[in-house]
Amino acid sequence: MAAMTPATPAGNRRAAQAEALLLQRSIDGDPRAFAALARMLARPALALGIRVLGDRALAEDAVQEALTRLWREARQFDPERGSFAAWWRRMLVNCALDGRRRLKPVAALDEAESIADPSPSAAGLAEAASLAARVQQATAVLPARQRAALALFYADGLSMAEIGEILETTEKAVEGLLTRGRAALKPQLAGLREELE
Amino acid sequence: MMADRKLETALSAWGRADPLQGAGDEAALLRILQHADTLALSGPPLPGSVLSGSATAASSSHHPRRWLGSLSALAAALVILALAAPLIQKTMAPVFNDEVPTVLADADLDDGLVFALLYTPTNDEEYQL
Repeated sequence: MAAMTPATPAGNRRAAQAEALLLQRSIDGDPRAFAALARMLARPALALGIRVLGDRALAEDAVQEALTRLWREARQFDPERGSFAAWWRRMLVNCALDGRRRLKPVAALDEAESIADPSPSAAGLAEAASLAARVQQATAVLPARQRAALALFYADGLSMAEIGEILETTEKAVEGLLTRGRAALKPQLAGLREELE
Repeated sequence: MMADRKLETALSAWGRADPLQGAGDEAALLRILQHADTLALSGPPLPGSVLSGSATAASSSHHPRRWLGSLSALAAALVILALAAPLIQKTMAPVFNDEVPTVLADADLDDGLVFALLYTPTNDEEYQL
C-alpha cells in the first residue's frame, strides 16, 4: 500500500495506481470503491495514529475524522501537487494533532505507562515487542509533532522532505523535531540503555 | 556514540513493531471500516472530479453550477423582497404616521391631566372605576 507502508518502488507504484483509481471511483459515486480504499488505508492509519497519540481510542477517532475529511474533500486532491499518500498522511496527522490538542495535554510518563502497557508482564513478551512498548511509553513525554516526526521516520520510513510535506514544514525543521525528540527520549530510556548493554 | 546507537536500535524496533496487537484493536478497525461504509452509502461527496481531464484542482466554491445556484437564490430573494415591499410598508405605516396626534407635545395640559394620561391604574382601581 503506497499510502502508509514502505515497500518496493514497483509495489508502491501499483498501490498508488490502485488508490488513485479507487479515489476516482469514489468521487464518481461508487460506494464500494470508497469502502475498498478505506480497507487499504485503515490498518496502517490506525497504527500511525497509535504511535502519534499513544492511545487507541484517540487514534480511532483521528482515523474516522480523517476518513470523513477524505470523503468530503476527495475531489480537492490534485495529483500534480503531490502524491495521494502524502496528501492522506497529512490529513491523518492533522486530525491526530488536532484531536490531541482538543482533548488533553501530553501525558506524564507514569500515566503513559498505565495507558500503553496495562499488563506488567512485559518480561513475557518477545524482546522486540517489549522494546517497542518501552519506547512507546517513553514517547508519551514528547510534544505531539515530535512524536509524529519520529513515527513517520522510524515506522513509515519517510525522508525528511516527505515528513516536511506532511507536517507542512521545512526539512530543517523536521531534522530539529527528530533531534529534539531523540534528545528527550534519552533520559526516558536510560534504564533501557543499561538493559541493552 | 554507543548510547545513540542503542537509542536508534530501540526506535527502529518501535518503528517495526505492529502496534495493533491489543485485544480491542481489531474491533477498532472494524468500527473504522463501518464508519467508512456509512460515509460511502451517504452518496457521492461532490459532483465532478479533478482526477480526470486536466487534473486542475478546481475548488468546489469555483464550480460554475455553484455560482449559478447562488445567483438564482439571490434573484429569488430580490423578487420576494419586491413583492413583499407594499405589505411591509402597510404594516409599518401607522408607526410612522405623522397625522397621529402626540397629545403631550402639542397640548397645553396641566400636571394633573398629564398624570391622568400617563397613569396606569391597577386591576383593583380599574374594578372600582
